[in-house]
Amino acid sequence: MVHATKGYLVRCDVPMKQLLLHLDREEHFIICDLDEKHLFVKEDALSLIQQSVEALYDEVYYGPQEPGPRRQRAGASTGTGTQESLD
Amino acid sequence: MDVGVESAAVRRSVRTRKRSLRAEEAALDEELLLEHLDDDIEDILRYGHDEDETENDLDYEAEFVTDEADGKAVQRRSRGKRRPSDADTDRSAVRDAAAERRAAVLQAESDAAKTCFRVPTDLAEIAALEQAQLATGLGVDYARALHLKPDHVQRPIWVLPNGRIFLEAFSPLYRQASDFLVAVAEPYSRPEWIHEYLLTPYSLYAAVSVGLETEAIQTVLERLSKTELPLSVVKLIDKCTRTYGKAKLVLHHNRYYVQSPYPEVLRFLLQDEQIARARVQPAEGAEEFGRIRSEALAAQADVLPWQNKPQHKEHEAEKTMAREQLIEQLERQLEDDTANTNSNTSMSTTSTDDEADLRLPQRPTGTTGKHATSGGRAGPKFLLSSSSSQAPPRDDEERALAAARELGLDATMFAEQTRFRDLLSFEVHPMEVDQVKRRCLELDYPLLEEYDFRNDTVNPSIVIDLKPQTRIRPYQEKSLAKMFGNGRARSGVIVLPCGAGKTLVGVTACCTIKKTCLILCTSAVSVEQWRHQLLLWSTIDEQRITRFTAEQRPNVLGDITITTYTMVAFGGRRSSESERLLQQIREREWGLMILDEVHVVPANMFRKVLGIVKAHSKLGLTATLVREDLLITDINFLIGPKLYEANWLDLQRQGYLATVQCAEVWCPMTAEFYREYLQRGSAKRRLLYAMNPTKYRTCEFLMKFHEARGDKVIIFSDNIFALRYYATLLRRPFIYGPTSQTERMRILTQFQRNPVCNTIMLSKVGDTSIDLPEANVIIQISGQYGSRRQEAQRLGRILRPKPRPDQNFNAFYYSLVSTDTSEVYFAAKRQQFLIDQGYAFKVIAHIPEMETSPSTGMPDKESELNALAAVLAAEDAEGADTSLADELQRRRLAQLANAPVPKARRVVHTSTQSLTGAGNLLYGEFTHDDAVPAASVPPMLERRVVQHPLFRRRRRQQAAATKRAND
Repeated sequence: MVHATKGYLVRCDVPMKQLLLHLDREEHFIICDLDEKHLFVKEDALSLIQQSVEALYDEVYYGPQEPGPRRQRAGASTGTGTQESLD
Repeated sequence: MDVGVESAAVRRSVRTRKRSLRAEEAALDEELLLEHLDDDIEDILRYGHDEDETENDLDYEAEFVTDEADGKAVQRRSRGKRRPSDADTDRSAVRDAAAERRAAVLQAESDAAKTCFRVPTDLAEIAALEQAQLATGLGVDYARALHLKPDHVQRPIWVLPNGRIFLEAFSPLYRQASDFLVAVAEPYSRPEWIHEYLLTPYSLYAAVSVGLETEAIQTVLERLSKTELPLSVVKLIDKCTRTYGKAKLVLHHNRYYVQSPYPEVLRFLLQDEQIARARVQPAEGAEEFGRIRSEALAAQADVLPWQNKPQHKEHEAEKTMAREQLIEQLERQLEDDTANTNSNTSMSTTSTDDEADLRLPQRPTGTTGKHATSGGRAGPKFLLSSSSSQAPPRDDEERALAAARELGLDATMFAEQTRFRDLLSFEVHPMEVDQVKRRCLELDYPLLEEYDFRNDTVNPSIVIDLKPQTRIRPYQEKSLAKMFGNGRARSGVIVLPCGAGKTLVGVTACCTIKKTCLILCTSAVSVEQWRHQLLLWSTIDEQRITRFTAEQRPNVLGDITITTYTMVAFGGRRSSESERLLQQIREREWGLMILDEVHVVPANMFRKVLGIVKAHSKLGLTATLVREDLLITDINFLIGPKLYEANWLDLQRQGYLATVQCAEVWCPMTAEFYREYLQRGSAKRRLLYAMNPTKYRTCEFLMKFHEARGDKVIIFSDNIFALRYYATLLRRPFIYGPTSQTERMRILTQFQRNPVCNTIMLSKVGDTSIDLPEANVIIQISGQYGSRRQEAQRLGRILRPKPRPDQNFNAFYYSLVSTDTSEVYFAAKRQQFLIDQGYAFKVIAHIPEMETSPSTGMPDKESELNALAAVLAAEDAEGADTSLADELQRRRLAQLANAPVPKARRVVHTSTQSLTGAGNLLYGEFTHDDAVPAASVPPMLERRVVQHPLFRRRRRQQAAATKRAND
């Protein structure tokens, strides 16, 4: 008897696999951990994986800020508040 | 002929229909044109070519020249009316959809245009409008409001309604335009081809402080701009320059005066009660306001010390030539523009230095001699000073005014331009000066402070001058010209890149003013450097320079005192000598105060310094006038406006700075480290991405590669744990906070001299002031969050030009970044300042050579896991970056530990005792107690011992007991 399971083969690099393993703790979508760069996951996990990678990208991406009134004139709007607060 | 009659009828009907069509078309002109264009695009997309070329032509006559019996004519005619034929239903459907789309866009655009270009009068309003524009997703489209002039190709700048200015660096007028813009606006970003500037209130304030007038600024901007100057910009300039600089605070013959050429301004200020109270009442019968004749000031201007050098004369010659050329060029260009203006004036901008002697309206009728320099501004010769520098007699002024009135010019405008009026003033109590300054600021008339050092007779002059072999570079000269423009010293900040010679600028300022000077630095090392540079460039006597630091406390302050911010601003307990010296600092009236690395001053800790020290003029020097909080604007009020900011790329091209190749190297995290990273909080995360093994191996590889080339490498790490771990594995010396001074000097000397020691590692202490001219390569493994200042300071360590002509880039800056971590974000943020200065960061994603060469520090998995274990075991605080407060805390504790604080005050003063050399001797008294007979004292105790009178009774009892025992 052959048991066949349908799923997705995910090929990624080393840190991303760790990210997926970390995510797996809550969501449990990994069927089999093949080696350090490959995973076998359930079908419905695809959107989840994409979302988490997007979230990571948003977190580390720095886009250039608009100059002008915000930066120079201390009285005007404070658009860059989030960045300043990190220091 | 049926055909003929028919054709005539058809033609007539066609003509009438044409007319009505034309009427409609007149209304729908633009829309149709656009629609036709859209159709053409559709045609091209579908059929690959433009079906009918005359489609674009709205003139239908040509189309009806052909045979009316020809079906094509009918078809062509109907084309103009949106093609009702059935064969094109699907096309029409597409076209309708396109038409709807475009109508919607046009509607939105016109709405936006209506809202945007209602003249915004307020800066906040401009910001709000821009936000609204950006939110619609269409972007801000200025094309509809800004109309290009016909000769816009020759003009170099674009001016936007919100005060942003874009300058084309490839324009033939680039040099002159950029000099003017640097005087008037703040440079924001200056890469290779398009430079961006911002008009801000502070930059306009600085422009006024060097003498530019409202009219002048507006006119020159108008001349240089490709479009007409937007009304909002005109209003901004007007608003910002109207009140700034109208009143000045001047020290004249050792009294404080509030001076102004406009009596109404003085009256307005005196209406305020605080200022009125601070005023020294004039004598009975005197005028309402004292007068200071402007000629008196003009007569004293003489050549500044650095101008007698031969190389300066060359510069002068070049400048005059350049100026002539510029004037010719501008005249030619602006010839056609005279029709637009109602006055036949011709303005010319200054060639190089914008000491703001923009030529005043030249009247062709004989009054050309009137545009004198302002009173007292016959300063350095290389400035554009016009022919006469003396104030002409009164009747000439009347004639000039009359002529102006004749020609329809506003007399007041003309009078404003000429500066041979008197300066009116009222005197203010020296104790109340601060109050007056603050009050004037609140009333929107900030006082300009200028120090008339030539006429200051109370403060003694010091003997100092520049050495003859000192060479001043042109950009240093420019910056000093901004400071000393009209013969007086202005307070302000000069921004020059690291390694460009800021110290020499400070030394020259000192030599110009020739009064007592206090120099404030950030650390003891920089104190040494300033002293060294002072002795190197100037002729001051070595004993006249005193250093006041934690280690050295002189008895008396010399002419030039060099100290640190912490020594002066320290609020805790001090030793008595420090207290005494601080008192001397407080009491003395300093001529000049130089603040090194002035960007640290707005911090609360250092602000106190300005309250403690009283100086006539203040000069701030820094390379990076940025802070990550908003306090940077406070410098304008604490010290003064930004007088000069140098262009890094220009200096690099001219050879004063090294050519640097900046690179960001990506280091992927390993599996174990990333797993831990995902699970931990931010403190541990910092440690984890700093200790990434890939990063370590990359660092080692780069270090060995450059050492093999013979370069000197510095490795920067903000994170102390990582610093020590790396240093241990790499086997290289490191310097951080707790390293003692002697060890630091030893390591640095070895680094500079010893060919074997080619790499050192530095923590945050290496950011500022450590002078390492030999370093070539910087590898940064960890930094302080997103601090742009730190990145620029670290780059400054290698900006001194290296004598290596055979290579393109002679300095390298690597920033190692662990990918997929928040370090990517911080790295990108840090680079912004350098990118604005023109440096481009190349990304190195992978180094193939690393695979072949094994690492010695972390060769295998086991060592990686060891590192991970060490990181996890380390306390969170270990990775924390030492903040300045911590440094101070540590130093304070060190001070208390090293130097015993005496309970009793040891008063040091010269006395006869100390003069004879006995000052340090302690002597004890020995008493010889007669109660004890000499025979009873055992021989061992023959020498005298101290016998306290309290124990006399006991001794007697003991003696009696022994006597009894002996008996």
